[in-house]
Amino acid sequence: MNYFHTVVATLLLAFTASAFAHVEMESTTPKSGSTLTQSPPAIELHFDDPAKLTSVTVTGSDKIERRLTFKATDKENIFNVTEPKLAVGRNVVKWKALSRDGHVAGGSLVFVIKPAAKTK
Amino acid sequence: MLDAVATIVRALLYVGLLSCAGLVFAQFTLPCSAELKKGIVRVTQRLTIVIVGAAAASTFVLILRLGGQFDATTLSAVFSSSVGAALFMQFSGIALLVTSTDETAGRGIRIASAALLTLSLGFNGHAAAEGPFEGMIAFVHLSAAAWWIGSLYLLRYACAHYRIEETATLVKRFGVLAMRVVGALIVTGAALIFSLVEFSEFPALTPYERNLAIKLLFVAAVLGLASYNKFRLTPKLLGGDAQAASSLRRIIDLELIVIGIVLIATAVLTTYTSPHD
Repeated sequence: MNYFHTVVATLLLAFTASAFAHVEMESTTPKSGSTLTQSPPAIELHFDDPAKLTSVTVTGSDKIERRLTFKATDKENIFNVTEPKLAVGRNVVKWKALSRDGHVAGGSLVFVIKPAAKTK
Repeated sequence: MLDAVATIVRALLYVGLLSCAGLVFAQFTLPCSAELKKGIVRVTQRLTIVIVGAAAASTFVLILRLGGQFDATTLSAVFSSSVGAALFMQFSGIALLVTSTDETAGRGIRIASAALLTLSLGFNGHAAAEGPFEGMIAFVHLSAAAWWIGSLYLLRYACAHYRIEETATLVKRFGVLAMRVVGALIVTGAALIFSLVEFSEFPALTPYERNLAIKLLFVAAVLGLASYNKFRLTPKLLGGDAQAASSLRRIIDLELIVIGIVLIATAVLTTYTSPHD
């Protein structure tokens, strides 16, 4: 019966783990839809629940997709996309994350970078 | 495209897990011949191959859906999440089932191993995300569904291979247990619906609620077939009507097909939609 006790203990242990609901993007800094004069040094992604961010990409006006690097913070629902180097024009940033309920969540953000004003 | 593949693989995983666990549950609650018991051990060991393949494929597809990067960030995200915990339970349950037979292990080990398989589904998903109580309800719901599926396999086998008296004994015992187990299945299913779905916009249904309604239609069809078995065919069988056994087998085939559709509908429900959307 030792095996049985081990299995029962595993079941009990499993149920002590916490669980959370489907994750959604709550806010970003800068805000999605913003028009900026230059690429921000970082983009902060703020989820409504703890999540595991797995992918962030950006597609600029040239339609070429490139991966962006990101860092976790000390809060499980906040991530920083470091040095996104957004190009002039419309930039679509797409993200994907794993919710605590095991589901894939994803979405996109838009940032417009205005061309620098010409100096005479 | 990836979502469709994920749905197919998940449905296959549901079939494998519930069939495997259900056969074990049914084996220890229904009268089985020694030959049938050996057959169950053989079939459950084959089903573990299906589970391993579907679980591995499901994880692979999940990583693709998360961006397709097999890097430390993604792998850590997957394996340290409830998905990883569910995989751990599935592989632990399988390892125990494969290494335990009636001759080498007690019923407690095999039942607990099977319970690990149904727990892995209850633990990872919308219900568990609501809290441990909802996860436990999902576990009971899935275990009841597994027992029903496993019992139908046994009844089907009995209809084809047992003498009419032996089949009648099995059907009689099944009838007594099924009233309780299917009752628990319905009650826990209703409890899950009311804990997960808010119905705040009724009658304008969300995509999750629409898919759930479709699933419930098929569930109602299965319950209709089960009622026909219980109230029409079972009395004939208990009365010694040999023709009733072949009729029962045909209806069980149909029942298993509709249950398969219910599992596919569940895979669609859990892959494409969320009660929180």
